Parts: sequence; C-alpha cells; structure tokens
Amino acid sequence: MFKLHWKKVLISLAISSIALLVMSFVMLKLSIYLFPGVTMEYLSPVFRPAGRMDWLYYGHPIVISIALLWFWERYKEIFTGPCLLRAFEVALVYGIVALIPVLWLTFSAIDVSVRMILTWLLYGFIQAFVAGFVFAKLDC
Amino acid sequence: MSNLLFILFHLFFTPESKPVAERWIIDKNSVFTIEGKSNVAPFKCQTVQYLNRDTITIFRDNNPNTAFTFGGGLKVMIRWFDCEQQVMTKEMWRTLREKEKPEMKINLIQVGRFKKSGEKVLGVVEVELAGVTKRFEILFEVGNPSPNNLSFSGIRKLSFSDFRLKPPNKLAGLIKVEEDIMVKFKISLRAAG
Repeated sequence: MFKLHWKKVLISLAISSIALLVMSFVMLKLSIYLFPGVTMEYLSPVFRPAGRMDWLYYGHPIVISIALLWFWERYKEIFTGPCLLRAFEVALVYGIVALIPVLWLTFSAIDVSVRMILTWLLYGFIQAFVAGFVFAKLDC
Repeated sequence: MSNLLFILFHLFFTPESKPVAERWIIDKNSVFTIEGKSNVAPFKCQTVQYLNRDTITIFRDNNPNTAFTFGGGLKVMIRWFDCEQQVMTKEMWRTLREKEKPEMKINLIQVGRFKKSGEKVLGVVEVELAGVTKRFEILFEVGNPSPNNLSFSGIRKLSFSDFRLKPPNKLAGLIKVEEDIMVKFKISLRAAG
C-alpha cells in the first residue's frame, strides 16, 4: 500500500478544491460570453432548478479533488517529467478513462446537445489539468 | 312644481339607451409575445397563430363619456408559445405551469372610446395564468382599417411573480432569467356575420 502524508494531502486537497471552485465560476462566465447558444441550454428542463440541491453543485470541486488526489497519490510514480507534463498526463488519463465513457452514457440518456457534451469534456479535462498541476507542484 | 314633474316624467318614462352589442370573431392573426432576458442572452417567445374560434362582444354605449365594455375573451394555449430554441420553449412551458394550467385566459374588460384607427386608448384586461387572475391597465393602439376589421395592440411590463411563478434559474443560480418580462400582443378581430 502507498503511504500517505496527511498534512500534505489535506493542503493539496484544500488548494485543489479552491482552485477548481474558482475555475468553475470563471469558466461558466467565460462560456456565457464565448458560447451563449450552448450556455442557454442550461435553461432546459432536464437541468434541476436552483434550490435545495445547490450545495451539490458547489461541492463538486471537493469531490473531484478527492478522487483525483487519490488517483495521484496511487499512481504518481508513472507520471514523470516537468509539472506541466505530469498535469497534462493526469488530465489525459482522467479524460479517457472517466470522462469519455460517462459522457457517452450521459448523451445516450439525457436530451443535451453534442456541443454541450464537448464543453463538459473540455471542462473536465481542464479541471483535471489544474488539479494535477497543484498536486505535481506540491509533490516536487 | 312643474320642473319636478318634468324631471320625474323623464326619469320614469324616457326609454333607457341600451348599449349596442357587436359580435367580433378573434382572428387567427392575433399574436402574443413574451420578451425577457437571462444573464446569458435575451429570449423571445411568440404564439404563431391563434387557433381557437372565440368571439368577443363589444358593447358600445351612446354615452360619449363611458368606455366600451367587452364580453368574452381569448384562450391562449401555453403550448402555442415558441421561443425559437427548443430548450427555452420547453422551459417556458414548465415555468408557466403548462401541465397544470394549459391555457392563459385574457378577458378584455373595457377600452376607452375610440373613433379612428391609430388612436391610443386606455383599456383594462384580466389575465388568468397558472391559476392566478390579475387585472391590468394597458395602453391600446386601435387599428380599424375597415368597418369589418378591428385590432388592439399593446405592450405591458409584467413580472413572473405577478402570477406566483418563478423564473427559470439553473446551476445553483448561475444561469437565470430576469423577473421582469415584456408582454406584447395584437388582438385582431373581424366582424361576425
């Protein structure tokens, strides 16, 4: 089993969660200006109205950070090279192994456009890259 | 004494001037538009055609100081609204609670007296939407190009909350529609019979 340094893990988790939360706001605001047509799709009835479940949305950076941190701590030895390259590889693995199959399933079940699915793929890839970069930097 | 008798005579024996009732058919060209804004882009939802065969009655009183009163009204199906984007159309139907109350009823109550086309007169309408009935004053523009055609156009700022409705609000409030909407309409009428 791999050995955890809890202090470092908690710091990584905190920084990654905050970075992803800030990034989620920035990217959503950017998408309003860059892809208004796609962003309007969020008004579709398939998306839950704002209300009691809002905390789930605001909590998603922590969930992703925990998952990616576990993955990082478990497999970081196989990612070598500079921090940016290691972060890119984490994002690539996350995108191929997790995002593509899940988004494929999502598209088959929910009435959302291909363009929206592609923005989620890009968003997830960038999230994993940012988290991977935080973990790699703190690991150096 | 003779004056009093004269007044009493007129009070009891002068025939009351009854208002003239005219029946008008609501034309399919009648249009209703809802314009609003979200923090992403503005939107516009419009009925394509008025597909019900409803009539309204206009009561024209001879008294030049009284407004014309109306009987009957329009029933606009919520599903007639098309917002150009399918997602917005469906969300607007959901917001207007189409499943529970599929139609919006608009009753013209009264319109100020008008003589010619293009005249602007103040009117009162009663709108029933999502189970809530409200009365509004609206400035109408009267169109009367021929004796057999009549139209009333108007615009009014309303709020979703006027009808106890909540505007669309998604992603924990990051994508939202503004509370105020502009409702534009043109009620076209043609003489019945």
